[in-house]
Amino acid sequence: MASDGIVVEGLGFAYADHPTLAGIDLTVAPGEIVGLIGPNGSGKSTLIRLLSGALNGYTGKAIVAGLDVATTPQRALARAMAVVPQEPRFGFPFSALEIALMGRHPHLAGLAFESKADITLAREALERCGALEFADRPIQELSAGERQRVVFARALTQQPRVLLLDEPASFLDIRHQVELYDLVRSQARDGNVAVLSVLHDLNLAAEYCDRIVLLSQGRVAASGPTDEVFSYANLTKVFETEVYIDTNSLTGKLLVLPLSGRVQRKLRRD
Amino acid sequence: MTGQVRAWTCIPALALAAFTGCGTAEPAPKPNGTPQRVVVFAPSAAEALVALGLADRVVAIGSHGPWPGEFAALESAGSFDRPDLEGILELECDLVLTTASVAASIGHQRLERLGVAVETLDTSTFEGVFTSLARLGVLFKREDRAAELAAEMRDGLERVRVATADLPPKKVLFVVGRDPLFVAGPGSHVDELIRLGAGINVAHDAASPYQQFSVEAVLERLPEVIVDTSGDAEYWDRWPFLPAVRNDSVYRVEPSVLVIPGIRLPEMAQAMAELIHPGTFAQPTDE
Amino acid sequence: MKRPRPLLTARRLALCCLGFAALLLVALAIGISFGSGEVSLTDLWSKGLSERHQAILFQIRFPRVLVAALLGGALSIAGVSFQALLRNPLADPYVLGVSGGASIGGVIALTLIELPRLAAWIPQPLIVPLFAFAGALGALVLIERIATVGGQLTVYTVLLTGAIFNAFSAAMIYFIQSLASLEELHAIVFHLMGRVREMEIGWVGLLAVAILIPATLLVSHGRAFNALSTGEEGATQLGVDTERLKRRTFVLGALLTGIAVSMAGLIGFVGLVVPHLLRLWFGPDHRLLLPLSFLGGAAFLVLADTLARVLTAPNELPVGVVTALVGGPFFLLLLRRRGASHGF
Repeated sequence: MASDGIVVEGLGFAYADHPTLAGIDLTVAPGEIVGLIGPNGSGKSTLIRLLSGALNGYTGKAIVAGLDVATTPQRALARAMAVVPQEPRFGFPFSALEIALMGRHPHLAGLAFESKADITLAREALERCGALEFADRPIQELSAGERQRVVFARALTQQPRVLLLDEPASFLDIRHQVELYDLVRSQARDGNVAVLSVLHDLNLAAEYCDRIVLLSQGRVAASGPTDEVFSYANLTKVFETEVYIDTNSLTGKLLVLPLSGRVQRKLRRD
Repeated sequence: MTGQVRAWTCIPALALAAFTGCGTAEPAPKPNGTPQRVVVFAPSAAEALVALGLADRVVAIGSHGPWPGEFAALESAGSFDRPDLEGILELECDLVLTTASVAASIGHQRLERLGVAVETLDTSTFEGVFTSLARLGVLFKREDRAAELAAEMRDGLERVRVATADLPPKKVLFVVGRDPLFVAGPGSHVDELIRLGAGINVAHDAASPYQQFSVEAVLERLPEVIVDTSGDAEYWDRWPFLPAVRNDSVYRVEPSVLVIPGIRLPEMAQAMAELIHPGTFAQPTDE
Repeated sequence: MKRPRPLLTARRLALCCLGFAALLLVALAIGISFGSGEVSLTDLWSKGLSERHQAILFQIRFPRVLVAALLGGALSIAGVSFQALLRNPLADPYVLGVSGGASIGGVIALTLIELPRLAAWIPQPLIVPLFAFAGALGALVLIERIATVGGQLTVYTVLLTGAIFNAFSAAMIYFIQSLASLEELHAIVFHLMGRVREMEIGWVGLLAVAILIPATLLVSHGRAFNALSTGEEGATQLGVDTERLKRRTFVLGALLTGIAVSMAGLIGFVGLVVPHLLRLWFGPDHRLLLPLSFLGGAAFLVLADTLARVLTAPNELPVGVVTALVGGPFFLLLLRRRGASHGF
């Protein structure tokens, strides 16, 4: 019995009669980073939201860190699993540190205040995300990328065994993208955390993900090690565009480049 | 569907145009001869008309009464601040007697343009009552009768003043409403009635003739007589230290008796004086 | 550069609450000391009080300032709660439509109040508040039913329904006014303007229980409200039972607002200005904001009511007028000075 990680079997979901997901099977073992890839509208974000408990009403089975998502109280889920959403929004001017500290909420009883240990944890998380310098600044003053790092720090503060990421690096420059995913990798490996990450950047996925789940129109089109899933056939079929696949001679990982219209026309002429 | 909607909106638009557009641009005509069909919004004016022998000229009354018995069965022409213009025109009235109202002023202008005279009467003070009476006399060419009535009224008031002249003034509170406390202040006819009856209005520094007043101030000033038209006179029993409560001088009075000034001023003055100084008038004076 | 705001600790919370409680006590003392009577709090110790001065102090001023404090606290904390629920610092307690229901109820009571049969069942001073509260409850139930879709309370729908309900109730009130007598009209207008009524001390105790219980419950949700500020999904992902929180906040806040409007008509600004100011000065942490807004709102309304009683003594102003006249310009001034820097 997999007591940790993510286990999804036969999951289906429909938004008010509009079927979004069907027959989803996937697993993420502790220490693994699994990339959730697919074109827009293929149901990636929906899957993340369902797994986190923010969205209800799925059919099938979803077990996270040994807890059944459908029946476990939200608090217990939040102690085991953290989510980094795509576009975090904040109604009030909390400071970055206060936001990071909110990650301790599921661990704090009723009216308890955060302990010194909690605060230290939050500060360390901010530091590892490169966000400690704006710990005291209101979150609304920060740039989108800085905010994303703070939210990631909050997820780390939750001390989760499972990490769900919904395009956590979409607003980050290349340096911070790499830093963030390095952090993800060290969390996974050292912390034995199971990570499921939605990504648009295929090369980032190629570099960091151990396995890929490729979604297309709400179903799993392909699933397995990155090198296998990122095949010319799979990618052109699912994304409906021409790609160029090569091996990065420096890293030994795959290099995936979408081809522009101009190049596609040139290739067809040749 | 759209055609239907448009037809519906046309109808009120047309009606409005007919109503306002029909008027000519003449200034308000003075009643030639005397008004024959009168709409009355002010009960005090109605009383005056009865005294002048003109009750039969009234064809409609307003919604805020109470009205002298003769008019109880008449149709209503709306309220003084929202007169039923169509009804008034339908009844072919030639005069509207009303109290001043900003809300109704546009309606009044329309009526005047359509040939209906509108006369605003201020009967909220003694002065106003007499002025209005004289004005009605002029309007209906009953100046003599009006003058007679006015003289009788003044005599009646003078009798009260004489009867109370040597009496020691007592502190009086006149309650118009409770929760919040509303009292009659300076500038109201009630205030004048109090003074005429050898009383001192406890609310002499109220900001308006009918004013929300603080209960604290009442307690501070210890009224000796309380006239309460709010319907909840028992409330004052909770302050047993008030002279008015101690001496059993809290009177529950129907609003219509004292609140609507008009030709019954002398009777009201007498009633008020009797409340303040019981026994002043052994029998009712002749009228 | 401003000194950064420190994190909230239990100690800081306790200190701030004590400070505000002291502030409230001072406000109460001021409220008891001033009025159109010639007696002040210090007279209690100096000489023997005449009967009427005792009556003024203990039967008029004392209950009244207590009621003002309770209502001010209720409106303020309801305001903060709705602002947290809607994630919008501009929400006020009347935004959810409960005040519309309470207004209709109160206005209906004022037109029926002369009915002797009614007075036989219900003591006269309670008629308007009871009807108004029934109206508030009716509105609460109606809005909650309409806005609950698939077992979930949709905040957006609540807002819309509330706005529509408020508009509807305003129209109903105009309708009732058009049919009302002059005296009723007067009573209606003054009831709606917002005033603190005098009550016997026994009823004040009841009011205190009715207000302090929901208020305490709201205070206990402070940390959850903080989490809610990151969005409903964000809060759920942090372990908050968001549906239950939303529903509770709606009901408790609506109850408090309903009670306040039933007792005192529409007193504006307390539920908007006080929370806003406190958030500017003390930060957005709801664990601090909730109790401080109760105490601060209480003090604010006590002082506003004192002004209402004193400014034109012995005449009385409706307290809603004072809160608007004082609250409005002060608030605008403050927004101008700080609005740009925090950008929310």
